[in-house]
Amino acid sequence: MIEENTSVSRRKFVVGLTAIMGTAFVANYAGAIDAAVAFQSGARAKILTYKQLEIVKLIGEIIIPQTDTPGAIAADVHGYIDYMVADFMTVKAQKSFLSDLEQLDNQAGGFFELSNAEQQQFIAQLDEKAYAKGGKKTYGFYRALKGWVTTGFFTSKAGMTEDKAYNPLPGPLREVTRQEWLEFNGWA
Amino acid sequence: MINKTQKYDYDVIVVGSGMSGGHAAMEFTKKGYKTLVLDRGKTIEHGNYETEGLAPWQLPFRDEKSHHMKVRQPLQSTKGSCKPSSKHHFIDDIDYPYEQEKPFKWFRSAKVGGKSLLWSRHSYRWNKWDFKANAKDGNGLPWPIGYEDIEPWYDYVEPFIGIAGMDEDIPQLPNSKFQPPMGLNEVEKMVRENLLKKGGVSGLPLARLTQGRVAHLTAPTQEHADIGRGLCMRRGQCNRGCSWSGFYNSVGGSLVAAKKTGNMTLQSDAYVLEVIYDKDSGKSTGVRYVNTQTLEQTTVTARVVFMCASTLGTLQILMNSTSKHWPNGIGNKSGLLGHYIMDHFGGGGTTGYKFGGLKDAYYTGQAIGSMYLPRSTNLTEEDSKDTDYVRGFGYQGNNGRQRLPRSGIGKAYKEGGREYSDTWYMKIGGFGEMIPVFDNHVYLHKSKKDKFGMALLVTSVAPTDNCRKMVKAMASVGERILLGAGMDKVTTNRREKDGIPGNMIHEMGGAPMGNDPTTSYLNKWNQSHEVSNLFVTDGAAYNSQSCVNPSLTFMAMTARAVDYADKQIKAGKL
Repeated sequence: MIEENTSVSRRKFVVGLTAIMGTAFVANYAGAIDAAVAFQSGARAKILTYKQLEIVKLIGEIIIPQTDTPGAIAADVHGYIDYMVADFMTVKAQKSFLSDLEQLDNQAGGFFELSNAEQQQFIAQLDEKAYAKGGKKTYGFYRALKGWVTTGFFTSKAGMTEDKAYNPLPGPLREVTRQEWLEFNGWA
Repeated sequence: MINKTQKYDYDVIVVGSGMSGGHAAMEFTKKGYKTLVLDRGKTIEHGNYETEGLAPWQLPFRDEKSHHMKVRQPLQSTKGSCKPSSKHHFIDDIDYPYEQEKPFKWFRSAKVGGKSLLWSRHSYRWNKWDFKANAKDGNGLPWPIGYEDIEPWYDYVEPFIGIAGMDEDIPQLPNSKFQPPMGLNEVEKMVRENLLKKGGVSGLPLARLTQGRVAHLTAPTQEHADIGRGLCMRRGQCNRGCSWSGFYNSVGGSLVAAKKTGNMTLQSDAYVLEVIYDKDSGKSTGVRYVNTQTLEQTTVTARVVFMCASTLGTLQILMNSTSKHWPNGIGNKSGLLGHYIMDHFGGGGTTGYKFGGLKDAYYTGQAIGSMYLPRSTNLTEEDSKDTDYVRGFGYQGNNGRQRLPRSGIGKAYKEGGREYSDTWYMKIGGFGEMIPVFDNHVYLHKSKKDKFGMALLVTSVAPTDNCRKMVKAMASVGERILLGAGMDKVTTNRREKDGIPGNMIHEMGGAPMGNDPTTSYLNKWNQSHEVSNLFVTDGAAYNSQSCVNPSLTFMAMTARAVDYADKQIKAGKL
């Protein structure tokens, strides 16, 4: 039944539901999904300038790169951050985000002036300092930005369905082998 | 129609459609009574919940709370479960104001089904000591009933609700008629077995751990299937609504069963302002309500009125039901209406760690409700010795295995955090019983009304000294239990700041039961002493509150009251 690894694919999801519920319920459930207004993260640059968006994009991909699964860019993490800065943050938080981002760019001597390797190195050093003792205060913005990147990635469709298997119906608690656990999570 | 006269619009009016109202509606309609159910909330279509099943990326702000929510829901949005995906199930604070003489958080539902869509599903029976607590320590008003009166009604409602749990031999936590339990993990097993083996911990012989008892279907029966309920899939998104009612709620439970009888009329957007009193008959003739959408007022009549509008909602309506005969609220001869308000209070957050030594276990799926540690003090001579408070508290919480931290950048960061460490943790928080105090009360504002014409409720409820002492004990007792049960290290949050009443959403009291009409509002059948066809069966009817989650008892007590009312009607007494 549904306890098997349920992928995000709508078809599989619905098939799984059919197994437990019978078809009548599936119609209802599908209705619930269709009726809901899904947030589309496609809209570009609600508030960030082109340059700011590109910086966020590059930093995001350095923190969470493309591997055998999508990275931050493919997961539209920059779009998510733009959206959160524009619509989620208070005006005060928004202002400080934008000025802090500007400052980070200045600190790098202009992020775009750097080669890929230098960008990589800049973020690596920043990360090290930010998480060293006492780094929380001085590097608060970087840590927050990393937090947005992380949340943005791991709540995105790509992050949730390709980096890890999405299990919308987790099912009963079952003790399994490590191999089964890896498979359930899409890491095998 | 059982009522053969044409005198009434309905046989029964039930005010509220949540935990209690849903059960009142189901029980009456199954017995053949034409029943009108009125709920202030907006209508809700079971099976068509607007955010059900949506993934984080499909929700506003990935379902993170935003400051925008404070505009209409400054209070409701302070509750963890009120998020973009569920906020439409919580009330609009601006449209439904109240005043706090003393701080009180009043969380309310915006929909038909009431808080049954928002509850945590934990379901525990009261014990025999709970009903004797007031008489024993002299706080509040003694109960006119005991465990033996309610026990058969627990037996009666539990199979319908469906409560997953483990049978135990714990005198302070009687077993329900259970669905199969959700399953324990390694750390829960260790703590449970150590406590069982050792007979609690030193000084606390009844300290135990059992599976959280939650109203989720783990093995649906034909009775559940007949009303469209199915297996709980452990999504843990209950507050959004569940199309197959894997967890119990009235919208997919009692109200479906009531509808099937053909005897129920359910009216949403119906904000009851008043229970109408007829001084000639000495009875209620029905209720007056306002349609929250059209502001049109309607009066409906019935032979019997059941108040199930939530503790404070019911009290507000009853106090607003004034007449020459009842200037302080219908049936309020004792003057007790609105007094002895209680809410559970939390505290004593304690986290235990077990560094290695447990099995390298892997799981798929999840257990909803985790574990429960029942009350372990003021039960026996041994565990009462060191207490400087009366009553007691249980613990709920969560536990699991820590993951290795995710750090650095790049691939290592991306794929970090997947692996487990060999450290397990168990985090517990107390749920304490608040003693009933006369001065903890609610009343109506003399002049202010909401836009629908209802006088504003004013809260004057504060934690007592007993609460403060108990909160302290929650931390120290938690520490003793977790260390005694094999955890290696414990950290506690010895917060002594007063919690704000209402925060646990277990508000109870205000229409106490008793045998003497001068010292109680209701008799032992939830029936008004003064207005015989008026019943109160929600949380308002409680003289004390135990330390366990109340909803199960609300449903059992309601079924008992309907059974009594039915017999009274058939005997020609109502």
